Amino acid sequence: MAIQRFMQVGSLDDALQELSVHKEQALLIAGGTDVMPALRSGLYAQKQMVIDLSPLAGKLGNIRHEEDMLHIGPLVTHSRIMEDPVIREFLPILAQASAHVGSPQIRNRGTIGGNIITLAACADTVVPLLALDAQLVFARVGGVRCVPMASYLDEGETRFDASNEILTDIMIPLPNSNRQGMFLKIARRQAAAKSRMSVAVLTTIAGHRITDARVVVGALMPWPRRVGEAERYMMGKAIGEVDPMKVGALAAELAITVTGQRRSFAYKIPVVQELMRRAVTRVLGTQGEA
Amino acid sequence: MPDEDHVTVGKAINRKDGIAKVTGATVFGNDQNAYRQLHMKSVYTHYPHVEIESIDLSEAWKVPGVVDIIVARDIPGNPILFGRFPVLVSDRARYIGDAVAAIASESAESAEMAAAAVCIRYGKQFDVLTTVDQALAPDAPMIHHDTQGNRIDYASHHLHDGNAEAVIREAPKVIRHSYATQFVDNGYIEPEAVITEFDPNTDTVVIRGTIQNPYNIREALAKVLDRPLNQVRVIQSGIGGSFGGKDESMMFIASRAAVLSLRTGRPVKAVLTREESFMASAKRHPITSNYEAGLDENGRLLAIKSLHHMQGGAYNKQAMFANWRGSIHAAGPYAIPHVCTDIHGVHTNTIFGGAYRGFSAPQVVFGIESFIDECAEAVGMDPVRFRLLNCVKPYDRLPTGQVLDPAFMPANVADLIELVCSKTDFEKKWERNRIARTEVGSTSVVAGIGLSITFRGVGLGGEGIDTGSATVTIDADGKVRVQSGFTEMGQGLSTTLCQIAAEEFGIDSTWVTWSQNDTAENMDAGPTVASRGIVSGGNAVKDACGKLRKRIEEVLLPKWMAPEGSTLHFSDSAVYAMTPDKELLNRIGFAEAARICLKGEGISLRSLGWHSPGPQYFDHESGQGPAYPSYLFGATVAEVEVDQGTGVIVVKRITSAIELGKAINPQIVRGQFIGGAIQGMGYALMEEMDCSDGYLHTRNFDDFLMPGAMDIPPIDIIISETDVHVGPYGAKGIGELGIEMIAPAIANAHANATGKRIRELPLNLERVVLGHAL
Ligand SMILES: Cc1cc2nc3c(=O)[nH]c(=O)nc-3n(C[C@H](O)[C@H](O)[C@H](O)COP(=O)(O)OP(=O)(O)OC[C@H]3O[C@@H](n4cnc5c(N)ncnc54)[C@H](O)[C@@H]3O)c2cc1C
Repeated sequence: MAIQRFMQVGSLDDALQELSVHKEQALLIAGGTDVMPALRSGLYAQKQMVIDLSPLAGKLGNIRHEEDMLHIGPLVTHSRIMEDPVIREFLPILAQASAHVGSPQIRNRGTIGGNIITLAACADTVVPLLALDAQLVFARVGGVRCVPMASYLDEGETRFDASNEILTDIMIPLPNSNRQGMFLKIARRQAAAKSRMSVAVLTTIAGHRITDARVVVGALMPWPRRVGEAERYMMGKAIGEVDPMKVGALAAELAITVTGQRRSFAYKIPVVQELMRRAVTRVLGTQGEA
Repeated sequence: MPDEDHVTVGKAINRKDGIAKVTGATVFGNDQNAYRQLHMKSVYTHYPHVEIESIDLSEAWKVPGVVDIIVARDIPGNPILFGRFPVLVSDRARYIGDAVAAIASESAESAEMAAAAVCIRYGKQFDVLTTVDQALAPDAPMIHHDTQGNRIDYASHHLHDGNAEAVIREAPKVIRHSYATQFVDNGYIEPEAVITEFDPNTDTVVIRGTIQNPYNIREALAKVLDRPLNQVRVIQSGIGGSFGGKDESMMFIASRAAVLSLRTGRPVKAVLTREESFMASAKRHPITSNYEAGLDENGRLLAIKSLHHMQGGAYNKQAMFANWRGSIHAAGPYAIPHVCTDIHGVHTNTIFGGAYRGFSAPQVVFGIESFIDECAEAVGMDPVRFRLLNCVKPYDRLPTGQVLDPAFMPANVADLIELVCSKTDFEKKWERNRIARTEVGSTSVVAGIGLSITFRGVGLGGEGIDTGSATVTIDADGKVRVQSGFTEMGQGLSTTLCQIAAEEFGIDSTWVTWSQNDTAENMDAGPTVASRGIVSGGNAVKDACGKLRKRIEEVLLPKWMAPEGSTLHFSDSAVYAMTPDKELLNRIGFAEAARICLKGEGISLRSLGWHSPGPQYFDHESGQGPAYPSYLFGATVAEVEVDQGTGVIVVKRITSAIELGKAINPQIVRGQFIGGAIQGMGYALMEEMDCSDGYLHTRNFDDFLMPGAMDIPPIDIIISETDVHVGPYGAKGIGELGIEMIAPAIANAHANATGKRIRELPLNLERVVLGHAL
């Protein structure tokens, strides 16, 4: 079945209404940078109509700052994220990740919402969003639900009901303490290439001790994951007590536990350890100086 | 008084096709449509090596819009093209791009639906041979029943000079290493497109499309359609890149579409998707090379022996030519008393190799120039001193027996090495990197610098007869049209050929217009390949212009009663009659001169220019003889940063010095060189195609990565012009030199940075970290 209809909606309610009527047959499109190649390759054979979300940019395309919470609309593009002053100042690892997405053309069209929903193993913004405790707001006809990023990922195939729900908000708590983070990405060329691997490390320091640590890897497992063991290992330690190699080793261990040995691990395991070592050294080094 | 210096030649005039290209006005293949056209889709095999029992078209015929479907038995003429390529297969598929049927329908969508509805019943699955080793194994099944052990017909070549084997046996120092390269796509942005039509008025089949080599396609189509050459007419459309590639794939779609056009009486349009183009177009052939060298105590090369195997795929129409070029170049531009080179082509059940910029040079230059660095290291010399000691100098003898006579082959490669090395401070950096790498951890980012040199035979040489054509017409307003059997495909030939005509007539280059090739208009100039457009096409333009100048002279001098021995000069858009005492007799505008000839005297101002170096006398058994009329020379330095912890290599700078005779248009020369260098970087670092089980897994540009804007470093080019007498004004061609030195320079830089040697391309993330592919 090919796409028969292209529909633009006037309001979020209309969009939800249409979705609830057409369900599996409807395909939401935001920037289209994931949808269009997938459509062409025959991935959406059962879809009959496209619902274009872009007219909702007025409502779903803003970055708002409310008390200690930053709200990013799902239609916000990577270009805007990487340039937003609040994100650059308080959530720099998200700005870094968005800056690594594709090329300027892709960043001008591609949205954070699309990146989250497609949830490729190499989805770049998902890595910092996981570290930053982002919450996702999903709307459906007659209600909304708010899901922490981590549980959205853990829910696997049932995480999101594409035939009923629309992502309407991404909420990120803003830090009020000495927090440092780093996002690193490795790809086969310097732009417009998917991550071969990515990592994010985020630590909060009080009195030279690590009071909070987030360690995330991307493109190593079916989707990005926090490395709980590594976070627990770092937590409570003085900066000088952390062995950055150990953090990498724990990330490697997690990957092997989750997926078993894979052929690509011959390369990925040593490299994730090295990336972790670099990120941890850099993050703690900066905080050590502060 | 007209001056003797060149006015237009040597200047960076704007490209003839520039404005149309940058404004998006250029008409490319897919922009062409015809009234009542049908759309064609090919139906491909599902398995790479399989017996085909039957093809059931009944469901496909039911798809609304379908007008015609052809299978192999519907081909009116010869169903097998040169290189064993079938137009359609009937009983056996030998690679994943083999097509069994072609459908013509009212829309592209319905043609695609019908293609999907074709039911192919398969019989026996044959072993899928995907590597040279598998195909050459003594018990390997035969891909074609009548080849010698899966060897490609006529693709074995030899260059034997002296007694390399014996010398290596006795040599004080012996070094052996092997190198391997991969399949890569030409990566043109525009996929193949063609539109075929039968013209009943002239009983001619007309083919328009993105065709690099119109005469190849004409010849192939004449055979397939069983028609004489003069009833097949090929008209080239705008081409969005080709680099050698738009040849076999054009042959397939043009021949299928033409058969459908003849049957339906309607125009048929065929456009490949990127996936189809990747699957069924030529790739750069992979070559594995085993090198052995014998050296004396002072680091002098005594002998090099090498054995190369080129992977051809299921069918091949280029290995026989590319391997000949490879055999001449495999030992590099070095003065080596004993050389023994053997090269073979091998069929496999994979995608096939063909022409891609460089045509076997990128593969063998990667091998020999990596090997030369390893030889230098083995004798404790730096790569610069080692090359300076061993490279050819003027009057040296090449292993083909050719003597490097500076009038034709300047052989200034030592100067070029010194130029690039002093410009980059090579030796100091090279030494510093060697020390620095030992002082840092094994996952650090380290710097490297690498050198490579090359020589490149000009034109086809002994591959075939190197004739070229051009037709030059002067109209009554003095404006000039240049036509040629050579094609413009983005390389800039239309501009440089017009520039030559402008120079010859002393007129402004804006007075000269180019027309895209049409085989009904132009003499067969052979294929536009081997960087030969400027030499063969340029000489033909000069020839045509010279004949026209003579005609004008023969009209005007008698008319003006010029004394015996007077001459006519063309300059400043005017013609000057000069007496033997160099006195100005008369001067009129060029346009006026044209008008007098055409309208007053009734003299034709159209001329066919022709260039022919004559037949080549080359001994193909031993590889002895004048392989090429001349050679280009080059030296390149690549500077890189290698992140040993992640495998990322960043190229920081490329510096090249090139000897090319004369740059007709320095801007186009730079463009050609830089374009080639970037493709060379892709070849070195990231491009590869996975066909390891016979299926093509690299299907589009998301997997087949080529360098992007962010990857491209500053590229410095030092153009060294020499006075040689080969092409027009001394030009020798620059289309391919840019690509071939880059991969070895980067590999050598990587070795300098890390102390580790990677002998397989590409130097991707995994090879840099692990030393081998995953
Ligand atoms: C050349 C190229 C390079 C790329 N490089 C990168 C890269 O480096 N890193 C990276 O992470 N990604 C990359 N991508 C992937 C893509 O650009 C990103 O994932 C992008 O963020 C997708 O956003 P979009 O708005 O284009 O999504 P769309 O294609 O419009 O939609 C993607 C999916 O999300 C759904 N969707 C969109 N919005 C909503 C919503 N509000 N509610 C519910 N469902 C929704 C759609 O139905 C669809 O399933 C690349 C893509 C291309 C083509």
